[in-house]
Amino acid sequence: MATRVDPKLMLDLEKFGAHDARKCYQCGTCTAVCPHADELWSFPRKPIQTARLGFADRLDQSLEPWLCYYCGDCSERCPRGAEPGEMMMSLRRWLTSRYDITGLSRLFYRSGAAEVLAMVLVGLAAAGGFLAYGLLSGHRLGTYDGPHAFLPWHVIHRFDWSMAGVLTFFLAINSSRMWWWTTGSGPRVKVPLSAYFKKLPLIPLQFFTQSRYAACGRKRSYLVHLGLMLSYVTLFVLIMFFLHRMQSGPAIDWRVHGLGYLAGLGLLVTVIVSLRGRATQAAPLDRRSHESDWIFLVMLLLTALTGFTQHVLHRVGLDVAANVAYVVHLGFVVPLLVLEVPFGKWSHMVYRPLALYLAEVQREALAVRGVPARQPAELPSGIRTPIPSPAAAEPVTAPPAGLP
Amino acid sequence: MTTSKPIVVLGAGIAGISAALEAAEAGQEVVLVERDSAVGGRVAKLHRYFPKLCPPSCGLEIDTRRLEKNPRIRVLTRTDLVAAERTDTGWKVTLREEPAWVKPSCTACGECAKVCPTSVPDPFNFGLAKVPAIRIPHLDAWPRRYAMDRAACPADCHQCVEACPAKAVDLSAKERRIDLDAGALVIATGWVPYPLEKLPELGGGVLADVVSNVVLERLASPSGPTGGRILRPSDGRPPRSVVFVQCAGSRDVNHLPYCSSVCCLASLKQTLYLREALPETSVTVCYIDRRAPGRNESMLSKAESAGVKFVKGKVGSVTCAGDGTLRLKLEDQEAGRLTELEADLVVLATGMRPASGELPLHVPRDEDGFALEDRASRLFAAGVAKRPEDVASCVRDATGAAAKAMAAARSH
Repeated sequence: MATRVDPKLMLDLEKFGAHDARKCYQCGTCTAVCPHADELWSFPRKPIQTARLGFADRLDQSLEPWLCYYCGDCSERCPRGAEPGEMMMSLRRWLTSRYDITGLSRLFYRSGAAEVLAMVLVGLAAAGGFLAYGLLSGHRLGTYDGPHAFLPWHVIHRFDWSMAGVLTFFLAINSSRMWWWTTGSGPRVKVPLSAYFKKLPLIPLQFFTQSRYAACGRKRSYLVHLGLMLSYVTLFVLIMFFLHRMQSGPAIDWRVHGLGYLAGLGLLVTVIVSLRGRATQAAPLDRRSHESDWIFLVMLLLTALTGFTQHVLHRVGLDVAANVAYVVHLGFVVPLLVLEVPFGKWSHMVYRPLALYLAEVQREALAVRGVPARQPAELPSGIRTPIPSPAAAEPVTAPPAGLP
Repeated sequence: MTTSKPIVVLGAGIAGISAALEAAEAGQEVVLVERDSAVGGRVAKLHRYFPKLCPPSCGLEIDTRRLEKNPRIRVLTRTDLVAAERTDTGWKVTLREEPAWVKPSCTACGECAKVCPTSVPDPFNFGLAKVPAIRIPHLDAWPRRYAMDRAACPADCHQCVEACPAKAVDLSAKERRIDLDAGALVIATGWVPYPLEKLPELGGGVLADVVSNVVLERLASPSGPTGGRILRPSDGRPPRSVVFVQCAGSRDVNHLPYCSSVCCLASLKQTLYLREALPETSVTVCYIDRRAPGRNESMLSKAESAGVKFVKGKVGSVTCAGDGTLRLKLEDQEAGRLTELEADLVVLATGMRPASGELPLHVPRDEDGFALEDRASRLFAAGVAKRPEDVASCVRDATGAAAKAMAAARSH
């Protein structure tokens, strides 16, 4: 199979955040110390070299970047300061832009200004649209809940579901491209259908527990990441299915509101911890923040803050202020979802569990098809012979004097 | 011939000895200063040196005979530099010579060592064996005189004094201050191995059977702690498999950023004598690049035909299994996958760090700590004090340094 060489691939990847990978001298320390690399999935060195050779097609076929959680052990041990962890992160950004059919992902990752501008435009459109709806519908700005609310829940609900439909559409297309390139087209092994079924439980498992992340040595990063994700998923479920009870009052419905506050607080805390980490460059993954990392976290922070604010204002009876906050909240949450979920950093909530699943599907397929994961013949022979027990060892008259 | 002040060479390793000899044989007065009780430095501790794989004693023996018969060289062993001050025409050098507990009249008969009640870790063998407090520093030591570790002596012990037939032991000896007017200084203070303890992820300083390349030289040397039998430090058994970890601490921004330049060849040399001494033992070298510059390229094919295996990939970690087997994790890049090797003995090819940092004078240095010469100050450097290099390069380098130092000493 012909492989197209793109001599400018590394220059392109620099725009996605890979600044030091050219220092790499191919020692493989990164792979040897990676808690996730194994005999089948060997990284970061291999993908780094693939990128340096300009093999863009091969990278399209690779799942390795998604198997990395950026614990940063590789970057800390790299003898060249080539930041392999950052290269893997950059490859994830680059792959996201490759899966994306619209080209927007590529535009946003290569230009933070373009991403901010798009956020502002979508945000103004959303906030302006809802404000216009509220004003034109004749509802009072002082009504927060009920059928005559300034922004009635059923309107928002319908909007939410339409948006979810559009985003799912894009994600489904992009994910199927990922599947086809990495697995479906069989670049490594032809996968039998049974392997797909057998490994299916991995998707929800990895999505909800991120147990592979826990295998990295950095528990704190794992817990923050898991906390952020679970908080968001909780809010997502509440908003998508229980919006009528979320946007109600004035009495507090603790089952819904309590959970909402808890998740909102969880989101705020984990986002602030993440932002603080990036600001103080606490962990290896915080040391090289790309513009897109900042935009994502700041938008999440603003979304969480305005979401909180509207509820609190409603509880204390300031319904006009609550509705204003609601409009502002929609001005943040809509661009965050519309731009980040299919085209930005947030897409990894689909790509990563999918990649982990596909990686295991391929492993299963290799096992089923009888392709050994390792071929001992290629390894230096003789070194695996275990040393005999003391009794069987050739006699040593006396241990050398002085040897400890 | 113009009279000139002597040049002072600091360090009597292979570079210092060579610089001193070349200058003296060209008619220059030289003072050769050595901190240890014998000359020879790191080279004296080698089992073999490349490319010919001969024992270094043959080269050193020729050098010490040249030292012995040259009246223009004054060799001061057990002597430290206390101060060096720049003057208009050179350097005012202050030295401190350790008390001569054993006088030059020592015949090296060994009676003192027989009665010595104290033993200390042998610095010549990196502490792998114990030796009496009074002993010959090593088999081929020159000057051929016993030396005493006075600090280790028990109080009021005079047994060696009484045992010495030559009356050469003097416990009341005093240290000596020596002031010299030098025409030029040559720094030849050599190197120290990169500390194993800084490589704990490779088992350095943690696992007994992970040794440095310099320790392997002692384990292989007939004058070493095992009498030349290569045995595992942990259980004293001969290793069935030995794996070399190249670039252990070299070419690494977290350790030594430079290539120490000799470790590849040193390891190749070691694999060759290992295969010769233990033909049943498998020997593997894990490397990033195999650097055998110049005419040493043939060492690679020699090692390959001797059955040494090479794996391209830097070792990421060395751990110890329950049965004492060492496990090395690395990416075998030619096979294209992560792999694990097993070994009985792991040799870390640690690099060279300049040792000139301990001198009580300001030496201009490059960013890696290697000495730079300063002609205007009549300050020169030779050997590994200046850059990481092998023995042959040190000798050539020392000859150049000697010429420059002589020229400086003779210009008034």
